Amino acid sequence: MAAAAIKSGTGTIVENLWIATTGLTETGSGSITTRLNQGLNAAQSAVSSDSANSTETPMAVRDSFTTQDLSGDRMVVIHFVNAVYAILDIYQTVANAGIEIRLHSGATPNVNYRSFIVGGRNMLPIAARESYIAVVINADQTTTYNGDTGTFDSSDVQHIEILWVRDTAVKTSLPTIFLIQRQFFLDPYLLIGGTTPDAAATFQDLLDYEPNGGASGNIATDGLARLFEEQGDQVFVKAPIGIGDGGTNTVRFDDSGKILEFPIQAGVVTNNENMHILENDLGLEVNLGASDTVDLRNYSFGGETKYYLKVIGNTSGRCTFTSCQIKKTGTFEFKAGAEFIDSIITNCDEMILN
Amino acid sequence: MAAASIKTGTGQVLIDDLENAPPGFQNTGAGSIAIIDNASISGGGSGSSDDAGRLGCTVAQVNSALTWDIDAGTPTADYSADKTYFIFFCRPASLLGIQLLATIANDGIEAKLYTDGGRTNFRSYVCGGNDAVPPGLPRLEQYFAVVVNPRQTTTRDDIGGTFNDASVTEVEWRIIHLGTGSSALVYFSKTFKYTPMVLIGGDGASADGVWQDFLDHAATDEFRVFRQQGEKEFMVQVPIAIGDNGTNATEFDDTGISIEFAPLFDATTKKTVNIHAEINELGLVLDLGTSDSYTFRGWTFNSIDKYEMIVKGNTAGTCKFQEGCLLKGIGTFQMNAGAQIIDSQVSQCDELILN
Repeated sequence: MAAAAIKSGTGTIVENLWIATTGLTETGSGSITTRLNQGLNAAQSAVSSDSANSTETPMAVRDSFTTQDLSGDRMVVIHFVNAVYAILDIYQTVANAGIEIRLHSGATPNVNYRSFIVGGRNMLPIAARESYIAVVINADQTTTYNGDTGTFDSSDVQHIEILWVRDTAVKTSLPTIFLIQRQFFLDPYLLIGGTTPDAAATFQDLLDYEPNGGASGNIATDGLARLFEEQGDQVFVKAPIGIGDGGTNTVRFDDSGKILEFPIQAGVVTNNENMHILENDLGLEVNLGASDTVDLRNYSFGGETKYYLKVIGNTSGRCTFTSCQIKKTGTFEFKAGAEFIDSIITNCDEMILN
Repeated sequence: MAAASIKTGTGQVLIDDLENAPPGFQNTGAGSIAIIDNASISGGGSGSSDDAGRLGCTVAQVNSALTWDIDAGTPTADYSADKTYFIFFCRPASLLGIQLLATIANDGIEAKLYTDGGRTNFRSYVCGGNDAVPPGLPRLEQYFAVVVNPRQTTTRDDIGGTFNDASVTEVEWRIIHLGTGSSALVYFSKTFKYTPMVLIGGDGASADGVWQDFLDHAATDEFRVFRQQGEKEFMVQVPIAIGDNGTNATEFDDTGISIEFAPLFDATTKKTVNIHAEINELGLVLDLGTSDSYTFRGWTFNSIDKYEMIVKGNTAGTCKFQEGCLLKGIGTFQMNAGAQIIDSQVSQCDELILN
């Protein structure tokens, strides 16, 4: 059995949209400057967007890339960070489209696009105004969007545009800096492998995985990706994750004690705008092969927007939840290979057994 | 019954807001002190912008150190009582700033507490370095709390003379440069003396005490000891309490919160270097009065290190863990007759004390 790893072709960057290398254009009245290593990110290049623009005119950064089909599970992920004074003093509020992302379909931008508000001066993303923000967008939904222009086709996305609006009542001259760290298209992470019970895969293998390779190849330490956040045993999971691939690769997973929380949908609570997802977009799927063994001990699952928890695949495989706490799932599906021992299930939607 | 609030006299006492050149600071090292004011920043992103004119500390020379002192003052000098902590907040200016610091082993960032008015008796506590993962690293550039129990000796670094925890009269911060590269900049914001905050009150109807009451109290003073991720997950970096044995009638009722008491300083794994305390110090004490009622619905309690969970006081009061609570990894675990665990789970805990 192979060592634990993220399955090739899953959870990876479908396309890495480094702005510095992919068709940066200016569409607003300000200026855009490529800046390398601003100190905010010592490991990777970054790009800033400066403007002395004193009106409420958006300026934009636009990327061109290979046409993307975002009609399925594929998500758009964008990481950015602001100097704190920019958030405090420069941007408009969320209600006034402080920071907005537009996805354009078709070859010609500004004709058919869908927009999502992702931030503003009154947005306090998880008590960390100075932090990197991971924006995750399911482009194929209109529940959390800010409207369409033209006829947006989520299967034919060819440009991404990031816009901001100045709050001229607060600051009229101070330039801003907007560091867009990473942009990519994400398919669900899928953990495979593990060998003997003593060398089984664990959740740490997911945490250690860095899309496209970071400075240290470690999400927890290189400060790049923001799809998993940790504090102690608590892990905030902003991506769909999976264990096993139905037997193509054998899996032995055995881990204890993680407390997973899936995020809340944008717009449900005030000033939380970065997760443009629907119920059951995120979650954990265990896809068993005939000889797979998955043991989750003392785990806790929760989330304010419904998430999925599934055990599917070959019923000869085994997935055991021992002393687990499972709260507020949405899609809750179990094959015969699933087993619950001394566990608590509460506030969940209907369980699907098959 | 009064509305829920943090009991007066518990929680944090501000020693000094390190803003706008507080009196008593001296530059005794080779670096420099800068008062950062964002009004003077032009261009942005220079690494020196800050939100509130905090005190910035810069070192550029090889292995140089910057020290400065603050007189802790009489009201906040005594740390001899159980569960009394010295807490301060700091942050490297950037990820690059973290990389320019010396390692944990070489005291990248440390605080030194002096006692008895001189510089002979001291203990120092390391709280950052280029090989450590500050608790805020997943959220770069955020101030992080450093919690110090000066009475314990498990996690202290250097010592000198005879330390008197009843008379801490000076505090010195020091940052050490890696030795190569540009200047390293570290900000410091506020210092506090802390005893566990006690939530009391609640009227038994719509305004029972809830977890948000703790958060609101901490927010009033930028006392960022409750780190949130997601909507319901909180890392609690201090001991807290609900109820005061009936002196103030208290009702508490909340659902679905996940509490992780912070891991303690670990020089080996270096994942946590900001909590200088011992096992079973952090945790939750529930001190019932006769008519008190505390209800936890679907909560999760956990820590990598052991913490305390204590229900005590008048057994006529009630404390219920129900609707799928998970109580995991408890060290000191004490339940009196007022406690009930209903449809909930207890796992990976030390011995349960019933009394």
